[in-house]
Amino acid sequence: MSKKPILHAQNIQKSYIMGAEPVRVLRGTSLEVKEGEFLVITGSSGCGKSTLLHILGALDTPDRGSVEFKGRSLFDLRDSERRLYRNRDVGFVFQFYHLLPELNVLENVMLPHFLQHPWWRWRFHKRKSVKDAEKIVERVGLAHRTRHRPNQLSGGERQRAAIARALITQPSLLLADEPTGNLDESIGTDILGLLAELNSAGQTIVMVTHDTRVASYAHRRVHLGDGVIREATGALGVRSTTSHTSEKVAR
Amino acid sequence: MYKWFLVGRYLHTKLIALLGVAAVMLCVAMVLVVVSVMGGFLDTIRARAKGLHSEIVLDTGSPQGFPFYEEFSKYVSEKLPDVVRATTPAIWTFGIFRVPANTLTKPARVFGIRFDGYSQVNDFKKGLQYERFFPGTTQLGLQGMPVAGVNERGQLQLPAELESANATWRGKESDPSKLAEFENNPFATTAFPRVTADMPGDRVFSSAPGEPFYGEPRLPGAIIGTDLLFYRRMDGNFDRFLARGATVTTTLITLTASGNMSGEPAITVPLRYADDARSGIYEIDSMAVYVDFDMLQNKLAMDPQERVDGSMTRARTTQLLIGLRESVGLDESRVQIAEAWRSFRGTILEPLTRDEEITLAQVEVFSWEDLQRSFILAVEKEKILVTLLFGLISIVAIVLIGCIFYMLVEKKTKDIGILKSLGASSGGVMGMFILYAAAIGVTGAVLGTFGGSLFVWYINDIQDWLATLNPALRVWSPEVYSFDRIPETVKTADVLWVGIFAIVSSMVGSLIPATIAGRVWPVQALRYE
Repeated sequence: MSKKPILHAQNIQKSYIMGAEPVRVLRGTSLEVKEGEFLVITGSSGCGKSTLLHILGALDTPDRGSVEFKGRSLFDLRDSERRLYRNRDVGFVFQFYHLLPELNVLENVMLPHFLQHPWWRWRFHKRKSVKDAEKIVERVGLAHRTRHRPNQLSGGERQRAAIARALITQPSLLLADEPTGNLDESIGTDILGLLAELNSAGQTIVMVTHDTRVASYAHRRVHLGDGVIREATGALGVRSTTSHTSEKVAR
Repeated sequence: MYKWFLVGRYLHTKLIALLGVAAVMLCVAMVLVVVSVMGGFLDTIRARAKGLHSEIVLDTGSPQGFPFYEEFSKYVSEKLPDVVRATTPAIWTFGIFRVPANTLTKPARVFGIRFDGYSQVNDFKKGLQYERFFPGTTQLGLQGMPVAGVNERGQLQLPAELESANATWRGKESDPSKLAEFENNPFATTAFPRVTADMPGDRVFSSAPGEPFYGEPRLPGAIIGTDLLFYRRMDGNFDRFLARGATVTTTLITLTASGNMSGEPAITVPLRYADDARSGIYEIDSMAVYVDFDMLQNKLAMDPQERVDGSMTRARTTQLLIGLRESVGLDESRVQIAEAWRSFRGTILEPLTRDEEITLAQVEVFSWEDLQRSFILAVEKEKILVTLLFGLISIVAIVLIGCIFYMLVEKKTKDIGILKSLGASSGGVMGMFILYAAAIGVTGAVLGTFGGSLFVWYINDIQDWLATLNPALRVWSPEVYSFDRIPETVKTADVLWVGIFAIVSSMVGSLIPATIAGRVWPVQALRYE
């Protein structure tokens, strides 16, 4: 791929205090994501995949290291700018969907728009927001479920709603944390198909998973082990960018 | 926008929010009922205390009275024409009241009044029972007992004067329900010559076959405190056993100008029950017998009496009541009238006896507020105290809101994480919970105001209903609380401050949990199980 990098993580280190001992989860992880890329980060449970994804999405902060998004260092930004980054530049898809149970599908999808506008300006944006939400809901195949609440949906439908919510602001980057981890195989395949379809349309996606089979949908797969990106391979023949601590391993 | 949207959604989908609303509602209703009843109690006391005597009262505080009251009435009316509207003397003393027909005997406070003048300086006339339906027929002069006759159609008919007065009332009364009530029960009757009524009702008259007439002998009239004469039934009405015009007696003790017993035997004065009066203050209505001023002055030997040396004593009164013009201030007028009294005393050139000098020196000028100050102040303090106590109890609602929100934040931790992952700020999340508390406060305040107001408006009906179940449930006893009915007015100002207090309290209660919610780290929140 000749496209320019959109996200660049450099020497990310992160520890957690568990009991008396600090546990070093990330030990200098570096990663580069290019525009339009579908990158899969694999690794065993507890290896730090989700932590890395949270740091890339500015939901968490690293102990050391930096993340640059389109040339701007995320952790040098002010809080308000980081909130804008979470709201507009990235979309999150979680393993457990994380939809608000009191809202229906359409309202859940519109939630990022609710967050963008104060109530006194909402009436100017409402029509467009509803239109956008309906469009994206239709795109993920939930047009017939817009008025249903999450508890009235199947697991796959919930995940589709979560993907629609992540896409409503047309983010540059979609971060997916085990999006199929809670679904059975056939529905998981559907969701992966949807993500692949989105990627084909130009959506940059970074997905973490412990399921190596999922990697076949991606342009590129990297493996996180012992706190570092240990291997990288271009599934579609695209070489990845790795950190100085990463070890290039042929697939 | 998300704050308003989510608050609206949480408010009607979360049972816990309804509990918060219920807590605020109950507190608001409770405080509103207390404030309204106590405030109404205070207002009623003030209004009745004001209407009881007159705006300004000259009094020595002792029953032997003071002289020169007629001269001062003229003096002050001429000196302060823009302040003084009307003056009238009144005598009060103690006596024994008795209804010979059934031997009812009670201690009484006997007031000697000039009916027309007294009615001009206070609200006395408004509280008369028969005067309302037969205007102009209540008086304290000599009178016979009105006895209803039977006309050619077999209907009871009162003497022409009473029929005519009643026709006047019916012509002027604008409330159709009161007219209908009267038409359905014009008066209950009692068979002459028996005095007690067979059919107690609102308006009790004796009746006899033939033409209506006035029974002899003609006796001085007396207006009797309703609670002195009659018992109240559980339905709130009085058991009127005595016919209008029936004979009652008052036994009086005479005092000299120095306050000594005069040496004359106690006098028992037969009187005609002309009407009964309710000021609404039980202490007054259960003790008062109003008779003609001149008659009482004479019986008490307070009119001019010949001394042993042939000279005459001066007429005395125990009070001089002064009604003020509407535009003048009470305290300012009291000062002016007190000054007028001092200057008036300087104009008295006639030689005075020692007793007269002492009693004149003892005359003080009071406003109605001065006279009732201790009572009004006590009720004011009571109101503040009770409101404070219930306000303190309402702090429980703040703690409760705090607990509810703490639980809510715990329960909604994941939602907080979701919102933050989508770009919500800490302040925004905190604001959302405070807004949520405000919404609970507003909803609770509105419902509490509605419920509390309804309760206050129907508080007497509720009490009457409870009393029909069990008389012991009648919590508001007229003997204890002065008034026969519980005040039932809700003031807008009370509603506003109680409502604002409730909303602010809810918000204060949510502050700590809202701060905790604002500080939730999105990653921790998303991992929260």
